[in-house]
Amino acid sequence: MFQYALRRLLISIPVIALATFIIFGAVTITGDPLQELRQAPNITQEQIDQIRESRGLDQPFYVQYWRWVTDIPTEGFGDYLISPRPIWPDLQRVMGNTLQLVIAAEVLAFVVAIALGTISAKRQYSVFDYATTTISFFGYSMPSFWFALILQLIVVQIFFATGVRIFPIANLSSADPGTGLAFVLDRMHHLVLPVISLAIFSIASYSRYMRASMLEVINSDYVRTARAKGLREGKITTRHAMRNALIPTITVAALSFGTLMSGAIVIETVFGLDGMGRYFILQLGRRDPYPIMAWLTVVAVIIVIFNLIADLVYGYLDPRIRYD
Amino acid sequence: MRSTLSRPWRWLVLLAALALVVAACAEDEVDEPEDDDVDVEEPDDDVDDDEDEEAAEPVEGGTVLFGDEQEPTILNGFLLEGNSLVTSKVFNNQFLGAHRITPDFEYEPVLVDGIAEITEDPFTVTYTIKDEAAWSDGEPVSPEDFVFTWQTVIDEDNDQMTSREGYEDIEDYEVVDDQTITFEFTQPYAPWPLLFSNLLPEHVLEGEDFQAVMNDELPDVGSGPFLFDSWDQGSQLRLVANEDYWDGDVALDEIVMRYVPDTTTLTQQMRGGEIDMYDPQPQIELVDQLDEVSDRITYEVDIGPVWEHIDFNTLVDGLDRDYVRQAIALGIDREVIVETLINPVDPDAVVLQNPIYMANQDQYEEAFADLDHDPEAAQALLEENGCEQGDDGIYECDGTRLSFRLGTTGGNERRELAQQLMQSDLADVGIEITIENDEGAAFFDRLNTPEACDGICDYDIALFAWVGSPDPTANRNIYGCDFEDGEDPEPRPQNWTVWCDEEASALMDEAAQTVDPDDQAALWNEVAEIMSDGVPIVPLFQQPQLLAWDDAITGPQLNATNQTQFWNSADWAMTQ
Amino acid sequence: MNGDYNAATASGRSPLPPGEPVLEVRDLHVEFRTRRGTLRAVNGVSWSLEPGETLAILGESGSGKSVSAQAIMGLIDSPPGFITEGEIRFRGEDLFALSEDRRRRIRGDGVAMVFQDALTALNPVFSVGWQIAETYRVHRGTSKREAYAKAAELLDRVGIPSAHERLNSYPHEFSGGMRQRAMIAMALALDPEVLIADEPTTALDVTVQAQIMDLLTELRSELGMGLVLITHDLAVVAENADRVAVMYAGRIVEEGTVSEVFTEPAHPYTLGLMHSIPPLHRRVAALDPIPGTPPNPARIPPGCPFHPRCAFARQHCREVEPPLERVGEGRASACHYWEEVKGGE
Repeated sequence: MFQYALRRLLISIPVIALATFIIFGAVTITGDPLQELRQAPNITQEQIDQIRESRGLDQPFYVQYWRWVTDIPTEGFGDYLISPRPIWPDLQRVMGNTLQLVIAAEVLAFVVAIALGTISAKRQYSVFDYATTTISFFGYSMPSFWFALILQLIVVQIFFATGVRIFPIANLSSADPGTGLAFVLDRMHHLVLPVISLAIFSIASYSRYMRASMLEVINSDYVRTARAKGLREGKITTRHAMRNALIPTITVAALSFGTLMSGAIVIETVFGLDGMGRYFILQLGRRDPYPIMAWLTVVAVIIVIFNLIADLVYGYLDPRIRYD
Repeated sequence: MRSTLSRPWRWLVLLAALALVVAACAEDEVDEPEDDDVDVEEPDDDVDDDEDEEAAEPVEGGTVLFGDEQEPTILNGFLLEGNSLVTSKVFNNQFLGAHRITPDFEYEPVLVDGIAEITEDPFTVTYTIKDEAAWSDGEPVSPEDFVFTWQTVIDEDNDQMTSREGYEDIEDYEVVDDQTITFEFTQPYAPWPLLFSNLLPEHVLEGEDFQAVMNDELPDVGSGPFLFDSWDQGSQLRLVANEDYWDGDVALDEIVMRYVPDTTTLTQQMRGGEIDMYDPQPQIELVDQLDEVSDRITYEVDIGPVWEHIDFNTLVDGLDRDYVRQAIALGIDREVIVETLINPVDPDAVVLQNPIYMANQDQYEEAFADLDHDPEAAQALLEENGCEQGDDGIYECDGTRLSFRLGTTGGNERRELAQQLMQSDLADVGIEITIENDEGAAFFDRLNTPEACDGICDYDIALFAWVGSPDPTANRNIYGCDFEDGEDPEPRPQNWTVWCDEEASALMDEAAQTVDPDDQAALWNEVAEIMSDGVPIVPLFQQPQLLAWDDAITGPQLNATNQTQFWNSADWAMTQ
Repeated sequence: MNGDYNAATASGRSPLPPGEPVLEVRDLHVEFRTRRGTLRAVNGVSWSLEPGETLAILGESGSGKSVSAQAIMGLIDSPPGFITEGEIRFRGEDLFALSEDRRRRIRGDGVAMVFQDALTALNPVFSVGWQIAETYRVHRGTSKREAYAKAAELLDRVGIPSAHERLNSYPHEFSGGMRQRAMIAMALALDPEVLIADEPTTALDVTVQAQIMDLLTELRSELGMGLVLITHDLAVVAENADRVAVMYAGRIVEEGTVSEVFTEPAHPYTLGLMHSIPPLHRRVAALDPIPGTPPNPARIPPGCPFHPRCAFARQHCREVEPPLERVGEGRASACHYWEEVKGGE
């Protein structure tokens, strides 16, 4: 298993390299990162030329790419284009925040989806099943920012009616969050609405998978055998059925992690969270290729890691899968 | 046991579920009565208190949470990346300058005792520092600070400096006494009141790497009412009151800037009381939303220094003719545009008739008033010049069909509406307009000088905005050209219309050297008159600015200039 | 009987009075209600099983044999399946009169079942050892270690080599025959009094078939349990069963000892089955199948369900359903004209 993981990681490197190469090309060819500078009325052409030269912007893009790639081991992701500040500390900071958001959303979605999917499957064609099916389609179709806005509106309306602010509608923490436990609780309080908004789509999606998977499993021969063995219905569901039904669901959940990352872009903007999504939008507006490249590389690595985790979990859960 | 629902029941259940969901997301019906008549602020300088509240007593202490859509990149207001309103909001609180700009676009002395004195020949500026002006650590504000600021700006090593204009014209200085310093310039510099708008503390910054020291934080010494405390990048920035503020007592304890990049969310935060102040771009729905909570929130609207206009690419066939541009100007109904797009937010907004001065400046003259909406005059003008209307109603002038692209930054609802209004107006006149928009940066990529575009730049008519300054000198670069004998005139770096008028350029150059404000204004208004004939651009309107704050705060006053809304933060206080 | 065996189990386990059948099915009716109509899968089936005997339920697919077995085990999904009539008595107790909890405890302990395809019938994500051990742990509350030890013993008993190492193997790591043995081991874990084997050898090739059947028979004698063998394979019946009940269209159409029924069938269906077997010693130009096909359980013909295919059919057969009558010592037949059938040929 370890060898397998190692091999997968090694193979990922050329994949990520290729991805970064293509993206670097696209970003540098389509945009002029000095655009903003050129606009500023007090910049001389000299200054612009100087910046161009020092950053090698006059070189063809594959030369620039090579420069960037070879810089990574020595200087991290380098500096921003216009001002000589390092990119990595900013990226680190936002990465932590986004991972909090995304992992919480994934966990929430997973837990709720399993429950919903299982109950729906066990009570196929019941009121519960139809209700959750309808709500799932709704949750799947509506964009996450819409949910975000609705949740915010609801909270504000409740505030109008009762004077109580049940959840903050923006920011990662309050102005004075305190330290230690108080800080953590404050952060959690702030993440409730964003996590829910982000998770809704995943809940809808994963619960459908779970339901379908569970239905298949419930009608399988081995569940029949388990019943014939005289096991309790509850045990049959949680042990025999679920363990099998989870396999495709976990795979979907792990592979969809990338979707959550991109959904986070919108959620972070609406809720004013200092995360990778917001960072990306900001840098994209500035056309600075270096932070964009760094961002894309980090996200690519995260997705590759999660795909690998998906494979490993899948292999662990299903002994029929063997890695050689 | 399981049960199967019969058909009709299933439909009912589905409907019920749907209904629940729809109810949850229905437009929030506000139970409060619409307070339309009360509290829509008039665009005056006075703050209207709520009529039903007694004038509350200001108290000591308190924190103001200011919500902002944008965050500074760096905190150093002198450098390129800090050259933005967002940074100024922070920077200006800590580092006061010789003067400040009031909401009326007037200069007011701050650190100096009266507006600085000038002499004309040679051109000198003398600053007399107030006796009591001091830094928060006790050090008095001194001429050394002026010298240090100047030297920092012109230091060649500081290549990120936004601009050295004016400062580089200083060739000598004289420290007259502890409070007085005189600078001598090589040539008259008209925008001199804008110099030293932020004074740097020599005793703190001497020897520091200026391009690094104030990027992520500011020193704990300042001359202003608030000092930098901490910056949680991406989330918030905290300013604390300067306990040793030389100009009185600062009532508040802290101002915390809370960064949320979404105006809708900020508005909800205001309504929900999560933030206490903000200054968003006012859209109609936003104003309505604030009206709904007018019992708790006050806001002020006024036209600001950001003004919208359409620019003509005078190298494009058809637009190279004066009469065509004039006809277009006459063809569009600017008043209707203002009525439709701006008045709902600011009922007092008017058409902007001057590309140099803003409507709320004293020097404002309605130079473009003769281009007010007159479609018959437009058509007469075209026909006078030999244009003929084709079968499709579009004029053709000497083989050139009057069909042009009108572009702006896509996704901006107000701009897109403006385009549609103009398109329809001009269709009535017989000029065809096709709308071709781009996303922000891509749109601005098209606007440039022919040299930079390597030929004629790829736009016909462009709709966008400039940020006006109390001093018009920067317009030289936008409307001026360099004329050299025997050669084609060279458009200046930001002259994207490539409109070159020798007389206008000469006037602009003269004005740049004219320090008397009245003379200066006269020259520039002449330029405006010439522009109303040449019509390289058509000014449309000034964008309204809005400042909203919780009624618990007294003191805030809308200041749409570069001085930012924090221009009088020393006067803010909580009540009760 | 197994020596160290706990007397205090759900099914009582006091010895049966002699002559009392350990499992008895009386007039069982099972139907499936679907949108397309009602499928009558089992229509009045009765049989009994003595301790230590092998009863074969013989029939084609769709005859209702598996459904009746599943009804005994309580494996019918309801809806859409419903047991509309009948009794099932285990050790004299009517299972339908018991609480669901008691019924559940009898499953696996008193009555166990082995299924046709061990690959799908065993849970693919748990090891075989774990699955066998689970039965112990759930029903007897034994410790993990003890349960695994027992599992190893059982694997060994059913003839799986290196039983101890194979405890941790997964179902897909066994060959077909070994897998079936493992499933049998699991079914026998608690010394059931009745083992129902639903097509236990159908998925296996012939040589393995023989091994498995031998194993079952061996275990049956060793443990003194009753074996219900559900199959469509005449040869398996002939070689392994004591008595046979022939099912057709959800009914039992003939019953008796294997030798009697197979040598002298008393029902046209059984007769046809016997005739369709190709003879061993001479060549035939063509097989001699029963004409037609079994009826759709949703549309069973009136009268005798076999009449459309029966050579002996008369008007009476079309109208009146023949009851299962006693036609000899321990023999029964559901045919109006059974004497003709038995006598002729």
